[in-house]
Amino acid sequence: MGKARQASRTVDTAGLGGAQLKAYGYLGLLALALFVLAVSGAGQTARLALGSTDQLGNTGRQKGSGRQHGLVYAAPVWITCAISLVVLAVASGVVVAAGQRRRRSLVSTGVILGTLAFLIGFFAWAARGQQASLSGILVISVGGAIPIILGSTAGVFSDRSGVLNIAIEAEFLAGAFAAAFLGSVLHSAWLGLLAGIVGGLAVGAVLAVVTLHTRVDQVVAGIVLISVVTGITGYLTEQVLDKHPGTLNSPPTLGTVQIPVLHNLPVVGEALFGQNAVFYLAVLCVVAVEVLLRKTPLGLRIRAAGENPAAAESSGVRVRRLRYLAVITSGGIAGIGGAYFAVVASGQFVAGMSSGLGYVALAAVILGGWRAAQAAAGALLFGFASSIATVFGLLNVHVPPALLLTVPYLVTIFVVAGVVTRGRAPAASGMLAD
Amino acid sequence: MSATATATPATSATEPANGGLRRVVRWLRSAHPVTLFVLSVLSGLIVSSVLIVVSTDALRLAWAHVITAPGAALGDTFRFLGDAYWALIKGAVADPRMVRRALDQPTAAAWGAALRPLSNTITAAAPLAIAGAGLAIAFRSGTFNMGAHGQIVAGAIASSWVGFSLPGLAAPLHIGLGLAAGVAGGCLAGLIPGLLKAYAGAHEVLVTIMLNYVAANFLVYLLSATFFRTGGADGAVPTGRSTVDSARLPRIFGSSIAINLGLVIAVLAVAAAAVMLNRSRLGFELQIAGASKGASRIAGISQAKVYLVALTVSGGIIGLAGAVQMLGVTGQLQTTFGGDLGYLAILVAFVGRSRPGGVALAALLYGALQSGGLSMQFATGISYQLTNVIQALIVFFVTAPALVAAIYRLLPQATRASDGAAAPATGSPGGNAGGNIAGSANGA
Repeated sequence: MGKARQASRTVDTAGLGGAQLKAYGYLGLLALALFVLAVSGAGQTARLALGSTDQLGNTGRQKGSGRQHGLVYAAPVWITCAISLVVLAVASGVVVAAGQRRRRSLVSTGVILGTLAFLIGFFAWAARGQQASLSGILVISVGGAIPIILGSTAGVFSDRSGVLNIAIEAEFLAGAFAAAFLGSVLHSAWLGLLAGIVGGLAVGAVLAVVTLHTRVDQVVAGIVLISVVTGITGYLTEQVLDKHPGTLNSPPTLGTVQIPVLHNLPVVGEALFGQNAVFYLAVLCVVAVEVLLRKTPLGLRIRAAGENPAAAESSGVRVRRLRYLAVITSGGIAGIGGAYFAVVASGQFVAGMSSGLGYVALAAVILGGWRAAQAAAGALLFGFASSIATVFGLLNVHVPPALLLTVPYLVTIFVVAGVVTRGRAPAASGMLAD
Repeated sequence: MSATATATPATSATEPANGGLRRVVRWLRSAHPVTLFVLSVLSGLIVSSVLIVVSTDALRLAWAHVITAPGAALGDTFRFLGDAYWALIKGAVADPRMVRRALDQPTAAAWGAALRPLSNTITAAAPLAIAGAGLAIAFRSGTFNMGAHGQIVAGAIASSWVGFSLPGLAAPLHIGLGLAAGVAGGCLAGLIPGLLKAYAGAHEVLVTIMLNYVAANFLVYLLSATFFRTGGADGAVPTGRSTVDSARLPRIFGSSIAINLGLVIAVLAVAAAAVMLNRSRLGFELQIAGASKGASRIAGISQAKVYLVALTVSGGIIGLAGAVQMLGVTGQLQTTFGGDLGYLAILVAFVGRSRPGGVALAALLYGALQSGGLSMQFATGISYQLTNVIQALIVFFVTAPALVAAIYRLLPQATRASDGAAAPATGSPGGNAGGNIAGSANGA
């Protein structure tokens, strides 16, 4: 017993050592990049607006239409980069601590912290000689991250029970379609949101039946389900919604909800406490899934079903029933993310509107090491990556827009390749269910 | 499939012989792959018919009065659906009237017009069959190559470059170079996920799907900001430079029938994929790896090599599909080049159960739906998007044989125990995990 435990521990730390090395390499690269940025922007000053603004950047030079808070942080680029380097050092410290405490999740934390530090330095460089609004950038990034957060939470929940949910993209589309259609018919954004959840639940239920009852390979089932939902929503959009866009495809949208005092906080206030209702719902989902999985007996059973279904079954856990529960619930969570596209982001349904973010959410699951909270933090990075084209268009960066649009996908590949860090997938995830 | 043959005698031995007719009925009602396939197509058509009824105003109105006038509702529905599917068939195979006219006045032009639907089908099916054959190699090796779109785009970019930048070459040489460039481009696009899977353990599904988006955006970049674009107004949708005539695939049945060399290339590609999979040492190794990772490890097959070879070879063949589409159909790059091709190829490979022969037949079916869908839209106003629905539903039912068997209460005899339909699986969970994919779940 003791020997076995010792053996497993050495194996574990050996794996962690590799992950640590990778993390050090990654953080080192970031530090090097920051150093280059600091040198290249040496003589210049960047003004980063920290208060809330209506416009992204250029608060000072705008006609004054936006609300302006006087908080502007102006410093030479190299100083900001130096501060970021210090934070990077702290991040490496976290990775060291991960090795000492044998906690994989700390590696993820360190990597995400380091990436954020790098981004701040990068913005200072990109905004050299002008002014950029950090809070504006954050608002856009967090907004772009909302569906990814929900998708990754859904992915974590389903994966942890042992069913790989590739069909998040399908749940997004079904949720968005249902939300746009029923939201328009019922003239209510909230009912639209509810319809989105139901749409996601429906797809989740089909996925559950197909993978658990008829035992189709989980990846095949996911891919096929995505094609079915893409086809049906695309057809119904062209055949029905587009013929009466005014009455069938223009749901009311949810406005922002500002949390009293907190939304006045500099930098993060607007992004975290002045968001739309779906963002708060997403945070709630993350917390709920995290608590459910880690702190409740039900969560323990779900994780057991995902790690070792045979053992779980023999100790009285009804694996298949739990998996049904997890996959269908996961569909509902992803359905909220789908509804976000329709009743918050664009106020209509467009065929294929989730544009692969369902897959990006899967990458966030991997980046977060199959933990809801870390996956959500990873989703924030992807949210930034997917809004990068908007952000860079307003900053001092001259890259063709079509290439900027590839950034979220390249970041995903980067993450999936485990260049940075990777947790361990639930052992039974992706296998044919019993 | 091949396993069905071995399973049947065993079961019929336990059954009392009840005469030939009874046996035929039994056979028809059993979950034979052909039966399953026909029923899958049928189910797909039924579900899409329901969608048509729900989404067509006139029919919905008729069904609203189904209590008072049930005959009208049913009659309208059958007439409408009949018209729709007849238009689909006319647009996919041939219009009998046009054939009769061509028989009366057998001119080249009349035959060209009569066979236009069929040639549209074949033109649509050729790249699907090539890409599907490439995907079959990947799927049979246990790698989920979802990157057909990206590999098609990569192949097309490379072949387009050769196609427009080398004027004055002899046609056979130019075409050969263009196709080879397509293969090279596809190989490169397949090599990236292959390397990442083999040496970094990156899940190929995510990497290849992400590469699809990267390739699509990279294509837009090429067409809008580099020498690939044709000179045009800034506001216009960017298009690529036209391929020189010497690189265009020639028509093979005379100039009036629009079937080009792509058909020959497709047949050769499918045959090559079949030979490679079934008759070569490499194909054997790939299939072992696809069937069981454990067995292939014991047999000393390097898993890294399998990933690399499977993804690169399948990428190369899929790149060839991009080249055929480029040099044979569009002639120039557009920002939306490839369209649904890559995605349909995946469905085709699933429907063909990852066997080159099956893939070729599935490609014909999907090509027919592609070309028939357009004529259905002209004839009845049903959106062309319906073909996507039918195609997706067919693959949905084909990949879930147990579901179809349950819906139609098929007798489970002819299915294998490992299918899950026959025996209530009591085996160890995840016993056949990992490389289990559409094709290999059901045979070999």
